[in-house]
Amino acid sequence: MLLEVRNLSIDFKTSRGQIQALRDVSFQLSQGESLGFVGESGSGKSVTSLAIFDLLASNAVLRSGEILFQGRDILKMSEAEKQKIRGKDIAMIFQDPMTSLNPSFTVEYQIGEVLTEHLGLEKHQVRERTLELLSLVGIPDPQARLKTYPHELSGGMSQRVMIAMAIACNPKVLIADEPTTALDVTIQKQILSLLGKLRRELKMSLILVSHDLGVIAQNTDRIMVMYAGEVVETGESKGVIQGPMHPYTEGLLKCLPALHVHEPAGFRLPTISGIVPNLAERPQGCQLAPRCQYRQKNCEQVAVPTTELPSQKRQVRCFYPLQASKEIST
Amino acid sequence: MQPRLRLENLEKVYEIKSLFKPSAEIRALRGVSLELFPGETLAIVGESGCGKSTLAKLLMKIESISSGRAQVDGKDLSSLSQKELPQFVQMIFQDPYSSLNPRKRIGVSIAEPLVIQGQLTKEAIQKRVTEVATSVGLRPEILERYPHMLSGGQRQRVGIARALITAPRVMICDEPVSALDVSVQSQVINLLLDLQKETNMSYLFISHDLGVVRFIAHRVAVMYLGRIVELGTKEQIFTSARHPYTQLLLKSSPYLHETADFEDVPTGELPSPLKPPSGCAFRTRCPFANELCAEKAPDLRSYKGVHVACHHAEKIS
Repeated sequence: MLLEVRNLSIDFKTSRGQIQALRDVSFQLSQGESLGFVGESGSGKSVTSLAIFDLLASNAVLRSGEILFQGRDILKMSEAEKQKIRGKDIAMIFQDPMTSLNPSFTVEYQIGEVLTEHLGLEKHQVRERTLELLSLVGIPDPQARLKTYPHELSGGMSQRVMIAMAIACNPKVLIADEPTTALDVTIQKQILSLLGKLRRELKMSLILVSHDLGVIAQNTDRIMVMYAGEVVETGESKGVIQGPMHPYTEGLLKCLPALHVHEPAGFRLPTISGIVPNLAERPQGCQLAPRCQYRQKNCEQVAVPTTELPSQKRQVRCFYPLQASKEIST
Repeated sequence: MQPRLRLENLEKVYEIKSLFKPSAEIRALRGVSLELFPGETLAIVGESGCGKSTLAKLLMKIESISSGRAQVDGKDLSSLSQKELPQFVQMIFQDPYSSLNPRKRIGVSIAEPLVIQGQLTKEAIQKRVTEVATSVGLRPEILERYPHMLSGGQRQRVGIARALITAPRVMICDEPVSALDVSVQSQVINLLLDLQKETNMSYLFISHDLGVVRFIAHRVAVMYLGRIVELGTKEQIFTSARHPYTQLLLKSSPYLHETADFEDVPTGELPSPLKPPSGCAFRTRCPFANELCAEKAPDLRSYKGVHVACHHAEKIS
């Protein structure tokens, strides 16, 4: 297994006390696979991806868990060891490419920095490899782009430069946190297609974090659905979308207006009643229980373990998983 | 039927002045004409820089109209004073948090448009605030709270209540659900639908999310670099789009149950609005473009019931 996260729990110290941001998060990522993190704001999808990259804010406290990269626990490594992996074996791109690039340096300098730092390339090699990377990410006329500054690039082009930096050292894992959320749809499609192409060509694994189920459905092999800092359902993307087994996944899918476009006038969208729990005052049992239409008595009292359903290749954190055969109608 | 909103050849030109460079012009809106009828939702879709937000600013009189005419309920927009405007046009913003004053209680924020108008007594305003708050599903005790104490969905309800309180003829919704999580998004969409049913409200619904548009809109206008390139009913736009840009937009949207076709990804980006291409603005990204497109900008014309601005609409299916 390339990357394995086991029982990861992370707290944040705040003025209102310690908040449990992640609870018992476990997942695996094999080589060449793409895994999607889905969830609403505060669900912990970004915290999980930042934890792998060890970029959490200083008020984060690790309560338990391990992050095994090629069998070694990242959390136990020294800063120097982590530095060697970060940006080289595990790379990351972010939502807003405009703020992720340094405005005072040229494209060539910023990509070159990665190459000298991690690969120790010589000056003439750096130029060559930078040009190669720029054309790999589909930037037209790479030679002319070397000396440009980030403000001269469009959003789509900046994200391409970010991707070029991320893949500069042929990473084994690329974490993309909402990589296309700030971009227009036509550009989003270009970037997602580029990520797919690079993944195949470089045999890279991809973690795609997004709030957009459509983006996740079309670009990942497996999906991990998160709610209130917990993983509620993991499974093959197609299977999860066609037959969600956790009530939250089902609710999330049903809410999408795109699925109800053929309904007659006067149709009201299904909703998930209530709101996400305050992480400082978590419900005792299942985190979704107060909002769940299927809840039983024990859901509100007992913490729910994750159930493994090997025949469906699914993991569900629910006492009463929905039947896998139950399809969401389009 | 008299339209609630009628725009005729609306133009907006921004002048970019610089000490060091010759001044330049951005034509943010070019010859925009449309009508919005009572009880109707007209969606405006398009990518950044297409002019959809400029349009909203002109209608709210945040920016002045360079040329052309805008009428609300038969009255010329330019004849309406800032005080009168909220009775005719109001707006719901994308980010409900940054559009609320963090130092004011929710009730005060909702009441503000009426206080500025100064026609009602304090008691009457109070009554109206409670009434409107209830209609958008806010409990009365929320009126005493501050914006930071509310969830995203509640804040957007406050934004809607504040826009609704002057009983406007036209509501401009600028990406009203884009900042919300899916489960909250559907609640707010339901609310907008309910309000429309009750009050026969007209929505000018600006959005980039075609899933939401396809659900909520009656008609759709597609914009590209300041122009409307296609305008038709929801069915026409989503099932038989004629303009190559509309087709590109539809093809680019991620859908749940369809495998993406990544073999045929169109290249190219939006040209700079400072130097738009000659003729048809979309020709640099268009698979059908020829010499005619470079020479002459296509007019918005009627073809098989839709309005489309393309020389090749007949050839495209």
